[in-house]
Amino acid sequence: MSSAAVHSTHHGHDDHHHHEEYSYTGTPNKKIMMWAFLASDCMFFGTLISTYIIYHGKSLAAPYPVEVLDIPVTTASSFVLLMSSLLMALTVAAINRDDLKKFRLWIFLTCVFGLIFLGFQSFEFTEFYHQGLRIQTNLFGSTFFTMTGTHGLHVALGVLWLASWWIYSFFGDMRGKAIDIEVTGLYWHFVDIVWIVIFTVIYLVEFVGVGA
Amino acid sequence: MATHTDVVSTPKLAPDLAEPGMLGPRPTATHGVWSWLTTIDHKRIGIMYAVAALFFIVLGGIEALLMRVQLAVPNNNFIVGDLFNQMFTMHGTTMIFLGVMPLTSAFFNYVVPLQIGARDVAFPRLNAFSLWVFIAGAVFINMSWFLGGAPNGAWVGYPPITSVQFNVGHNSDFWAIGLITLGVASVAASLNFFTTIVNMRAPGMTLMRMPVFVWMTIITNVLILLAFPPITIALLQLIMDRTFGAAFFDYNKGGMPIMWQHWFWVFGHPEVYILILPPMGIVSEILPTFSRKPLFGYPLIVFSGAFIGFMGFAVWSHHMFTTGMGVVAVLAFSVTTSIIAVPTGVKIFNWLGTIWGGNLRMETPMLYALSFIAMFSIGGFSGIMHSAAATDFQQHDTYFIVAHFHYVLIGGAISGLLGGICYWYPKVTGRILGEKLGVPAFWLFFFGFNATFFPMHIVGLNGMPRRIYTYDSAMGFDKWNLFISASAFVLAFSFLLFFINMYWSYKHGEIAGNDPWDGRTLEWSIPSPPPVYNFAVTPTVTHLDDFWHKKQTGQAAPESDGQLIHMPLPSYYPLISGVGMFIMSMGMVYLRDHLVVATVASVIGFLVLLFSIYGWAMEGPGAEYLDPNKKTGAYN
Amino acid sequence: MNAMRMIQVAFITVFLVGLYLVSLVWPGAMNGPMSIMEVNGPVAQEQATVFWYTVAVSSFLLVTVGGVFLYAIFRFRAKPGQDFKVPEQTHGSAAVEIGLIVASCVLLLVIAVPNARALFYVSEVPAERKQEAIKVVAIGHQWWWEFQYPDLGITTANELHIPIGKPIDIEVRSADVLHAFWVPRLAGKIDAIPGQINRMWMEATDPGKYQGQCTEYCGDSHANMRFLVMAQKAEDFDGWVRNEKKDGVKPKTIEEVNGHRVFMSGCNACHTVKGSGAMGTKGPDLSHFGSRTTLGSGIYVSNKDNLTNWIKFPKQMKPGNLMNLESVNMVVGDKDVKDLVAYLESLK
Repeated sequence: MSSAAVHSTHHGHDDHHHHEEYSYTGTPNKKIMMWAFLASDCMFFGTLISTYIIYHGKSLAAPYPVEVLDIPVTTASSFVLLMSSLLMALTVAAINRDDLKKFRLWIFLTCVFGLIFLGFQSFEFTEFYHQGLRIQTNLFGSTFFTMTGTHGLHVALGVLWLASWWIYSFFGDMRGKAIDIEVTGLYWHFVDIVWIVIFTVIYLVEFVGVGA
Repeated sequence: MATHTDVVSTPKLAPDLAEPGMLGPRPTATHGVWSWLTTIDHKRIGIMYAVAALFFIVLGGIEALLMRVQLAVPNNNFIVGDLFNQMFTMHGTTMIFLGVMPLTSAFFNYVVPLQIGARDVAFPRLNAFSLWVFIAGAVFINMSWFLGGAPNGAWVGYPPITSVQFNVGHNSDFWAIGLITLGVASVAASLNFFTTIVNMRAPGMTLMRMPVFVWMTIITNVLILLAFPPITIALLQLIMDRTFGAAFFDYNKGGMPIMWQHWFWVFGHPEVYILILPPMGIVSEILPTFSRKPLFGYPLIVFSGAFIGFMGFAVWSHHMFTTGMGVVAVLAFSVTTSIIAVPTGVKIFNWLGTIWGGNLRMETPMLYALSFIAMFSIGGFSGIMHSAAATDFQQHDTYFIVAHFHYVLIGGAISGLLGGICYWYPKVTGRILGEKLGVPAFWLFFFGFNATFFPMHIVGLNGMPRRIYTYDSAMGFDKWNLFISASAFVLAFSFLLFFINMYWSYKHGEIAGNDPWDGRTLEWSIPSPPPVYNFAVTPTVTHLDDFWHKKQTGQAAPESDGQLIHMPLPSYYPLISGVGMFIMSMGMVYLRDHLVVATVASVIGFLVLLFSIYGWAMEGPGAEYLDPNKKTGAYN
Repeated sequence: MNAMRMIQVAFITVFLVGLYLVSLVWPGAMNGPMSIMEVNGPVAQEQATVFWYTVAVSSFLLVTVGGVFLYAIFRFRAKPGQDFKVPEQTHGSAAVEIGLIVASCVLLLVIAVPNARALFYVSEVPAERKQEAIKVVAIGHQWWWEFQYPDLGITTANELHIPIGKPIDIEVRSADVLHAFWVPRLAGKIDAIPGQINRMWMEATDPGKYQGQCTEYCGDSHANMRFLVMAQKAEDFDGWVRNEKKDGVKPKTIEEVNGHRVFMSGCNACHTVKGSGAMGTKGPDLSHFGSRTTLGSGIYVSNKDNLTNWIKFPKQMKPGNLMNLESVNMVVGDKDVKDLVAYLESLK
């Protein structure tokens, strides 16, 4: 039957017919697509980060980065996001073991940690706003809000995705969905890794600058 | 068209069970408009891409003709100032993003799965999504004509002319948001084709047994994946500037307009190869078939294609020699640019090697392929001329450049694509595209094209800048411009003939059969038009040009073993998500002046999109089972 | 059918080669006022020389590759009735490929060396000539050019006077959007970018009027952003400089006096006339407007009729024209326009 099933997407849930999905390489389609997407997303964030670096120190009006960045707070939120990656890894491990209970627990916690990160980010945005940093204020404002905003949007979509899986696991059939969870996990890890780069470029660089 | 006939199926063996939480019914239409709107068949999607692309090529062509009327005589008053600027902006944008790119996409869709022996692409519904988002973006960007004026910042959209200070209307908003929408469609399609080619190849089809067109497709799609993000971010930055007063390109706040140019060309140069590599692939299919010889130097053609793609990211600043980058940077980009001439030359030499010693049949696909080689070479020569930066300071932004890229894009890309249409038309429709009208249409195209664009070299060297709507008679441009304008109508007429021929042949053309050209690749081993499932039995590949090899060695095509074929079901959701994207884009345009209403509209659009994504995820691909041995009537 | 095909191919060949040759040798085809082939200065000459190198290499390739191509088409066409004959199946030849790759690289070097040399030459005034160079600042505006001579204290617009035989060291800037400064017969172009200073140089070997034009798309009247370079003998140039340094001529006749009054009721918001009290900087400096030969950034001959229409119907005279009387709330009758024209023309 396998050669006859040379068709498209994964279709894990099908009461009567279970096909092995055809794959030339042996790697599922979804995984290949996600890796390709992440390569594309690298260029996406690469452009945002390059813009930030090129415009660093070129703002003509206050507030400047050193005046507003709160490194301890953001370190905490970064830590939360990193921990969510650990939780995501546990989620994937659980679904691979068919341990639905643990899966629900870990994916829920991943969501919560993602939400905490977003909470920190909204706090930071409001704080900056009150200190007079808007998107119109200067180049720092424009590049900062656009880059971290885009990243935040990625996190928010990730949270929505994870939350959907969590809810789905209560009424849907999770058999054969491990690959989907793994793909979601790839996305989530990528978003976390990107944050490490952003955190370095925006916050740590400034910290080093202040120290010197 | 493609799949009306010869398609067999059995009633579904398994009732189409609703998945838990399915948000709505599945489409049931098997005929008519709805069956097309909800289809996930790569062949039908390919046809719709082609029809839409040809429509927009006609639209872009009309824009070009209007401009040619204005430029026919000096100091003309037919279309002046801003309207002319809208024309050339939309001409460029339309031809590149709504014409040539979707036409290449049509070939990816229709041909690639057939050439790799697959039953569909990796993600059929994502494929439909790409189509509908493309249509949404294309319609959206053209809505601007009726909503206060089309984009007018040239296809490169260099700020500050596209910044809100100098462009107070919504012209550039439509442009920026429309291009982002089209980018979403392109990237989604590229993810799909990348996965399809990596993973859906028939057993035995190793990388070095893939047809060259498949190779060029995967290289093109990698380029799209890597090149579209920079332009998307640049457009986002422009939108931020225009809508929220950000400082990215605002020199009063320390922003650098030049940065846009870098981002634009980091995308823009690979984009040039995104447009030309697929036609190169098509030509590499046509030449061996009509020379009846294998492609000369197959590995070199493949590697040079990959090398061109790679180098495409290392030459972007050659579009910016006159921006004051500094002499060392200019020299460096001048050298990398000239290096690209080597792999390009390799391709041309290998095509010559292919026809050398062959038995050339001069039918329309071959005529277009040979025209591709000749015209693309001439475009390449002028390319060498401005890769030398010292002299490019003179040629930059003149008609010499206009001549160059039209040689590459019409003489090259369009020639190749028209050749591809002639070549695969029998596969798609089951009928041969008539030679009686086809050959005159070709010669008219060839002469019309050369007569239109060759003199542009001359007026360019005589100093005519591009993007000007008028010129003075004392400049010595008038004689050639009148000639160019007249020739442009000849070129346009050749397209009309081509379309008439397409229509006539569809109705009355000679029946093609499976393999009208004595083809070399897998698509010619199946009926024309192919059944929905393409291959009754998945082929096993043992050679490059596998079908040719099997024919030469007398191996009959495998008979169906009666196994049922599992195909996914159509879906409403890709179409709905296209509608959602359209509403969202519309809302975003007006954020600047009606914040609340526009936000509400954008959110509604986003919710429609979200709804369709959930509906899509919940319904699953579905399944039906077709029996290739039973003729139970048309499936769709 | 075969004869037919041969005729077709021959026809194309003749057509293409013909066009190519005609374009190269046809007198008048490429020697217009903005020609980049027939030039009048060392910078443009250097650039044209590199162009000829590229033409030589391309022509060589055109003839050889094109020759092989056409020969192959003639030689290997299917003979009648043999459409489906299978020729010898050859797959390629490593020796041929490597040979052609090496040959292409060598051909590219033929261009690369003169190109590199020329690039350094055209990018900056040669060190030994820096002393004698005349400094000019060219500022692009929508849609006209401002020219400043920082060492001479002169500001003018749309007509750049230079002495022949001296390098002109040009600093190119923009006041609004992108523009490009280009005088084809004297030198290649450089972009005018707001917030950035670009440099180029040029030199005229012969006296004369050289046509220039903005070549970076800049909006509605991009096509109408032209200018002239007046290359003069040293003594003529010095005379022009002496005149430019003077204040604008004081109004003498009744008309001119009234014209001056009208001018000061609005025009002065954007225009400068030295010594008259008008000190606007948005528009061109008009201190010596009457001595210029063109109007509206090089698109009209400067005469009474054109000037009158320019004042009365600015948008019709130049699409998008930022010069208009409404923006400074001026309402003028025909008599006032007439006097204004008289005053402007008196500003020699």
